[in-house]
Amino acid sequence: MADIKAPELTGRIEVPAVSEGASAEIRPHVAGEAHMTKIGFPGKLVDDWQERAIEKMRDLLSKYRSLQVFLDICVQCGSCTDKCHYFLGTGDPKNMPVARQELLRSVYRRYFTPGGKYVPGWVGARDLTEDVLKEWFVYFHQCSQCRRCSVFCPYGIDTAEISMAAREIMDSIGMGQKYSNEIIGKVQTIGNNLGIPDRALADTLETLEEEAKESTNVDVKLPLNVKGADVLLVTPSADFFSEPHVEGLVGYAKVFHQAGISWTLSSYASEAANFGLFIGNYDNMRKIAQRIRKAAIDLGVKRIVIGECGHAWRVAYSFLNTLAGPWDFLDSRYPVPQHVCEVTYDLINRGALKLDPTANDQYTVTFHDSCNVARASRMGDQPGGQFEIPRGIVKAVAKKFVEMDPGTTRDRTFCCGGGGGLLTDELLDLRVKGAMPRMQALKRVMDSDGVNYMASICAICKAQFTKIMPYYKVPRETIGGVHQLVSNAIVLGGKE
Amino acid sequence: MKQAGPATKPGRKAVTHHYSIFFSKGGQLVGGGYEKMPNIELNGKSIETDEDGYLLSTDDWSENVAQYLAKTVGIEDMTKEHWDVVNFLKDYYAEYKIAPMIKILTRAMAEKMGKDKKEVSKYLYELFPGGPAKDACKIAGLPKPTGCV
Repeated sequence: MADIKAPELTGRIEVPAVSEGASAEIRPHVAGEAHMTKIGFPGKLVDDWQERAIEKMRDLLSKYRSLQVFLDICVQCGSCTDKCHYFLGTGDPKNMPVARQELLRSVYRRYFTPGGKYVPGWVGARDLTEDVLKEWFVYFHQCSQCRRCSVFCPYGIDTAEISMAAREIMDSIGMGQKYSNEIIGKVQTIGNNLGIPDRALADTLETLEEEAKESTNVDVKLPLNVKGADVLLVTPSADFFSEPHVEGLVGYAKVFHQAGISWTLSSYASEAANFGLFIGNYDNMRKIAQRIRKAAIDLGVKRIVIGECGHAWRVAYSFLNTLAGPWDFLDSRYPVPQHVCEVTYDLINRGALKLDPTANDQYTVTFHDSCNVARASRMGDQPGGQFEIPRGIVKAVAKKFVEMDPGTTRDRTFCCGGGGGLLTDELLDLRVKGAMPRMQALKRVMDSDGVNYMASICAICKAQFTKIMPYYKVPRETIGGVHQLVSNAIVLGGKE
Repeated sequence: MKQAGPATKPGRKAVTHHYSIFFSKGGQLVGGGYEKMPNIELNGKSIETDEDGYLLSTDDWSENVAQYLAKTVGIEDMTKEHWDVVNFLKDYYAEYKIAPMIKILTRAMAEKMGKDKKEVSKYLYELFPGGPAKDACKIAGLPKPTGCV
């Protein structure tokens, strides 16, 4: 691990020379038996894995027409080749989105198209061999499912959906990824990714209340399991554990406090993240989402608000209704669910919060769009709200705001390099390299405008940058949340 | 044997990798559970760890084991401050079955060392360059904190 070296920061994103096999030796841990069986997969690679993998592929093709279309329509135009941060960071040609898709597509052709069945050599069709399976495991775990390539694809082929399908096939034959599967297991038994039990969560929240009291002299509460509260806040469990995440949680609490909104956290649904998405497994995704429903019913809340977590917002915004609806028992005057940024932005616009942006005068801020928020969801009632609302908040709470290169923001944003279930130590080399495009864009505004704070609304982005920035000789405190800035600027106390 | 490469184009030979990073048992690719780190052999005792070298059972912890684990994360000498952090983590885990939030650790250490919290936060990274959450937990024999951390 010690020999991981970050690319040099020049402020420019250059397409690297192709280097075959450059990242072939990087792979995540394979999940052990306990982590597999706990969430409904075979504990080990099954004997007849080839047949069962093809059967699973057939099953997925019948369920998801999109998958079939994506596998059929690629014309290999090459538009996506230099759009993936992992290709840009590693130079490995199999990290070009078209080549990554081809890993699955070549097998699809072999078993599901006439050409592939009868003249496989002519159409680039491959048998599903052991080497192919290993290759799937390596390269479908070098895709963070960020969907940047799909923005540039003239057909809109979504590589994320292909990598989710591949991971689902591998899980179904007993070849899963430890990081994601262990975490899904923890959510299902304890209620959150980190495995924080009720008592520890209560202790954590009490400590935060004490700290808030010490620093503001105001009783800011972080309520847990309060029946009859109006709002259930579901937030990533990293908000209860890590820096800088915790500062954002305190920010949400201050917003609710100052707006006089009654709210609660739930120890049963103490996780917004839903790693079921990353492994493309509907059953696990549904089980995790159902926890939010049960908590909302048990606590009798009227609204559901989601904290700063990228893919959680995708799952909540796009799928919560089908996964865990109908939500007819909630207050229909509010969006179901609502993003905490929507809540705060609305309050700011109504003049319900008193803000002192000079509290953030030590910062020149830029905003890093998180992929799942930017490309797979929306906020507010205007197109592009997912871009404008977080920026609107940042501009209201900090005076100096600078945009990064428009080729790297909004729907063209680059992944932090740790999304999609890749935020694990054994992939650190890949994560450092995959962060290169974002770090170059950041470097440019650091040099030109003195940017020293990159705001983000995703727990994975925050953890990833905290870890990898030192490799680039950038202070880890440069990454922070939007509500961390809100927390600094909000003026608590009686209204004038 | 089919090549494990992208569809080859005429005139361009795809490189086949044999993926030596996977392990096979008896010539057959095995799925999960085969990539444990070798056990720690210490004073005639064999101690099981996970893939990243964290103890599988907190009961196997001893000061000797802690010193051994410290070396695996590049800490040659455990100072009093290292031990303070490790002991606090152990006690907290015994009580709550999870490592504490960093802020709780920082508060406790600030009190113990009589220093400012901000200072201690930086100091913890100096003590445990790989990050206080992961490296200190490892030395204390706690499971690896995983999630979005």
